Amino acid sequence: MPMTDGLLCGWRIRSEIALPELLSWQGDDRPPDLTVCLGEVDEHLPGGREISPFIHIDTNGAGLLQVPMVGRFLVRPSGDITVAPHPEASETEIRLFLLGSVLGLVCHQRALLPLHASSVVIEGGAVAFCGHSGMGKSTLALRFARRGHAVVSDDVCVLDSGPPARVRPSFPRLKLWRDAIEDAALSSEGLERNRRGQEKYHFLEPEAGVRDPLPLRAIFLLRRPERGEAEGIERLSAPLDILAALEAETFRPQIGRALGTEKALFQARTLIANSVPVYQLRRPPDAPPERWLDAIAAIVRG
Amino acid sequence: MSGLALIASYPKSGNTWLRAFLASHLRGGQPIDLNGDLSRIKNLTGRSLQDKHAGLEHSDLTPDEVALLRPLTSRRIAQLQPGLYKTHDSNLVPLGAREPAIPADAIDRLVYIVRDPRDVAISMAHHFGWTPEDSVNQMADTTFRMGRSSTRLNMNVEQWVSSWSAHVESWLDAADLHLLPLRYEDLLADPLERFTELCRFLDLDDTRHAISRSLEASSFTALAAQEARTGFRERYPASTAPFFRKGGAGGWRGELPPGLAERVASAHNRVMARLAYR
Repeated sequence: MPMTDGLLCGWRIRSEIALPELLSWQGDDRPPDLTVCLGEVDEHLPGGREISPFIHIDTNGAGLLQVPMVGRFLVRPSGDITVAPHPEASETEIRLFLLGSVLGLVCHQRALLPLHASSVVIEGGAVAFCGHSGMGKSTLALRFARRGHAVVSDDVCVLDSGPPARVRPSFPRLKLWRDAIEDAALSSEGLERNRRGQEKYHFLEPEAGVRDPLPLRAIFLLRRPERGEAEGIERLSAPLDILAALEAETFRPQIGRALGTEKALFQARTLIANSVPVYQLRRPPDAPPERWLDAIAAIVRG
Repeated sequence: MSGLALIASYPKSGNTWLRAFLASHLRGGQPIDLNGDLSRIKNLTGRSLQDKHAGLEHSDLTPDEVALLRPLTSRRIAQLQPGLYKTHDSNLVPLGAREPAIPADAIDRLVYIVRDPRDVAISMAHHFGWTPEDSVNQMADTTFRMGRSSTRLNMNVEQWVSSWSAHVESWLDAADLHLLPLRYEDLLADPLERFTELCRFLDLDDTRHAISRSLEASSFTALAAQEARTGFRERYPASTAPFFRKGGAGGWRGELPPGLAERVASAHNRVMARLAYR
């Protein structure tokens, strides 16, 4: 069945697996930058080195991701991706890893900085929310989306090589737990589950996608207040603090180290540290997000 | 130290008390901030620690996949970030996995705290907001897991806890493990002696003066007073009592209905006898 090519972070992607999260490709008629095929993938990557328990990288820079109940993904530096799904895996589960871990791998192979962040459009630029799982990145993005802001990325926020510091939009899908959906007065009914049996869902705003790279306007690091610190937003000023924070927010940094792209990633982080305001947003992770939206928007407007 | 030095126990058996003591002891016996200093002895099953070393988000995995992943991640933590951690994991192979979450080769040494299961039942009920009967049922359940995210993210990853008896025996009978077993009741009865043993086992300052200071800083009164003042972020949201509620031994006699106490005694009879819980 012929399918239209999709747009992912500025790349033309041709896939045997339907990718409803993506906008369709409307650019020039270049050959695809990334192709996704179904096929056999060996459980061993010859010459591969374990980067993390489920990821191996070989000396040519190819990566193998194996998720027990989902399948194997072989990601070549050329952009050819082969997927061998587990017989019981759903398409959602395959897409979850294709558009998450695999996307991160592709960024590292191309020496682009992937931040572990959700981002939305504010004032014509991308505003990224970083933080550990459970700190409320996607929940904040959802609240902005409900106010009409386009979603730029969820887990993986891809930085262009720059300058200036720009974000390559991924797709307008948010992964949300049922509580976060219901707290926003929405229903999880009819939404796809992140994994079988899980109360985490994929919330899609397909009309709200963004095609072209956007200037990165600001980064908010979501933190829990420590040792009697007050809640609030504070701009980081010391470049070394900013660099350390951005390193901690890099998506799968082990892969970049294994592929030898650290220098490019360091340069990308330095560019951000020198040109983009980075704030700490301190709040308890389960505090209602609503009260912070206006403050964030006001700060971004300047 | 190479590998993991673990403070292991079934839930509500005194683990946080030991962490508080060690947090103070590592700071020369100074008073501790419950919401800050306890992180000196991190929870091994904390989500961000596990995500970081696994190189992916556990929230994208099924419980069975987590069970397969955990031993691999434990080895990485042992290698890259060794040190003191707490855990409620059992030393059993979870359903669907091939080895326990923390394999013996990742463990440098392990302190195991055990407490009278009838007191545990009462404490668990208050902690989780359960009835005492729920607690007793849960403690007999050999498939009991903790850390599962239901409708929101749990800040820990899945742990295979199993029943109280199976948990205790899985650690006490582990072969090839440098193990210090401690009864909660003995810690209460003779703190100076028992905590000296603990410090020697962990290669920490074992002088009487230092230990007394740290014991004072982590006394039940000090911890409960601080919780009353500032709250404690490890308190379970559905909890019906302060985290530091009583901290005693034998409270079950007045609080656990006799029928339930008998059920605990018959379900865990062999292991209780072994630990002299009568």
